[in-house]
Amino acid sequence: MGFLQVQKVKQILMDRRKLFYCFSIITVFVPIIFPIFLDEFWVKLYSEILIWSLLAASVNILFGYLGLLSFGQALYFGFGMYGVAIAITKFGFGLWGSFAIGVCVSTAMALLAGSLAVRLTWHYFAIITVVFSLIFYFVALSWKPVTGGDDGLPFAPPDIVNFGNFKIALTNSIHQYYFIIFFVLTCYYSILKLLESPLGKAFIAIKENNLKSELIGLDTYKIKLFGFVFAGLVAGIAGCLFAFYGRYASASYMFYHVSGEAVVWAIIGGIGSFLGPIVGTGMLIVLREELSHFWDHYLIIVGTAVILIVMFFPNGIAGLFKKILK
Amino acid sequence: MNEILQIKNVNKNFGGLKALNNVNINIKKNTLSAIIGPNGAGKTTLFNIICGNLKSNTGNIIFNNKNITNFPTHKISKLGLCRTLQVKSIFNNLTVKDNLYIALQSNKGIFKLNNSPSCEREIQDEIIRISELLNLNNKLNLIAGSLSHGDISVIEIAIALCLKPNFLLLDEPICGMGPSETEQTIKIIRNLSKTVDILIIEHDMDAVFSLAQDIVVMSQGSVIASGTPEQISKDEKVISTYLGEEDE
Repeated sequence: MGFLQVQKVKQILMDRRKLFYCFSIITVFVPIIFPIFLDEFWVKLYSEILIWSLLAASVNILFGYLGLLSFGQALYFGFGMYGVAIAITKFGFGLWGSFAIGVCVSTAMALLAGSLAVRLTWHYFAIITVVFSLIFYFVALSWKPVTGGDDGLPFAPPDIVNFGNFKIALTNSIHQYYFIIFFVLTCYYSILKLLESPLGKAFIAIKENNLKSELIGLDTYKIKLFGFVFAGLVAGIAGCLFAFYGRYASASYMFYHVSGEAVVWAIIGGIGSFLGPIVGTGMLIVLREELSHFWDHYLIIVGTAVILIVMFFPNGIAGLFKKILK
Repeated sequence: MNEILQIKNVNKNFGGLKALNNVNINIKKNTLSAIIGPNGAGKTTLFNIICGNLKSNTGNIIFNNKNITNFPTHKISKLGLCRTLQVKSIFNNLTVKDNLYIALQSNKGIFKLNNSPSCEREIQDEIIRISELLNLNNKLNLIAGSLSHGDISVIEIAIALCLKPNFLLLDEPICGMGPSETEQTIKIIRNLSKTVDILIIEHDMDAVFSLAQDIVVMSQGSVIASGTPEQISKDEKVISTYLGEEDE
């Protein structure tokens, strides 16, 4: 590759919009490209990684752009899951209706928790997000008739589209893949638009200096609340997608260790980096899948890798790439 | 009304400590005023109360005939009352240009997806105008936090100007500066005072007496004197508590 081509590739990699377009094109062609080299399983795993990456992206919106470290994003993920599962099993909703309910309840929960949480900062903020998460985790665990308790709430997914003979259904793995990536890419595009907007600049200002932001006339409470609800919405969509993907909802996904995992994914990928959550989530889930075949205690290796990355590359993998490109 | 700011019977306690004790101050329009006093006199606490960073226990703050007592900081800023801080505070990891951009954007509204082309042009023009006014035009693309203390102080003033203030509170604007930076900043403040009303807190008496038309002296949370620089320099109470006797 000539010098000019190298420069061009560098420019694309440094421009998050262009990088997003490249990532979207690759993602669209994954079901065609992956089977050439790999097992079908990896296409499925890729879509699972993308769903989980949305949960990490919701952490990244809060921590990477607003400076708010949340250990409670699994709550909105869980609300999305249960919104879908309860709407289908208890009220007989179709796919789109249950999806809408899942998104609405998770966003409403984020609004409720956020209106209290964003008044606080640092460890107080982190603690209140965990507390909210724990309260609803135990509610979900004990409210067996509605949530299924320990067993969770399994369901048969309704069709995406059903016009007589013409049917698009989640039972078809290709349909499911494109259904998932449509919403994942839409979420990432919305995050991109937000970051490029005046509001995105206000996010950065608040993260940099909260007091100064207030002194220049920014209503930091409203802006943080908006960010919190938006992050809750993204986590909620991830929860809905994961419910459709796994065909069930479970309280275990609302537990705070799921939120903690999302924080680790976001940090490893590169906090404050737009596509960092995908890199971090992808890397750690693939590592888990590969290592767990060989050794039961694979988490020791994963943990060591995480510690080394945090120590030597505090801006994560994306930060390391940026450094190399510069 | 000839006053831009009226501080009426303001009291502030921190536990058992009386930081402000029945403070009454009137700041006239079209003047550059100063508050002086020894450390712990309550000057910065008063600024914090005026700007909504702290809530007073009692009393009222009237700005441009509007009672702004205990308003939130961002609302007070939107009314045109802007301040700089004693410990210089800017967006350190952003460029000088981005520092000004965010302040200008705050004035144009934040909750929107895009700026219209005319709005974007206005912001860019304002950045150029303000940076030229304060001699920051050749530093626009530098990371703000990497600049000298003097430059950071000027950036803070530039950010305040982006908000189109009609009253500017400057908290020790020349603190920690060398002689040439001090001279330059005094010149900037003097020029600004032609278009914006200014109230400064400053310990450099030469600067205060050369800049201010009105001076308020505070000590231990109370106002002990106010008047023109001539009146203040001859006030016996001020001399004994703050200025000190001149050497024979």
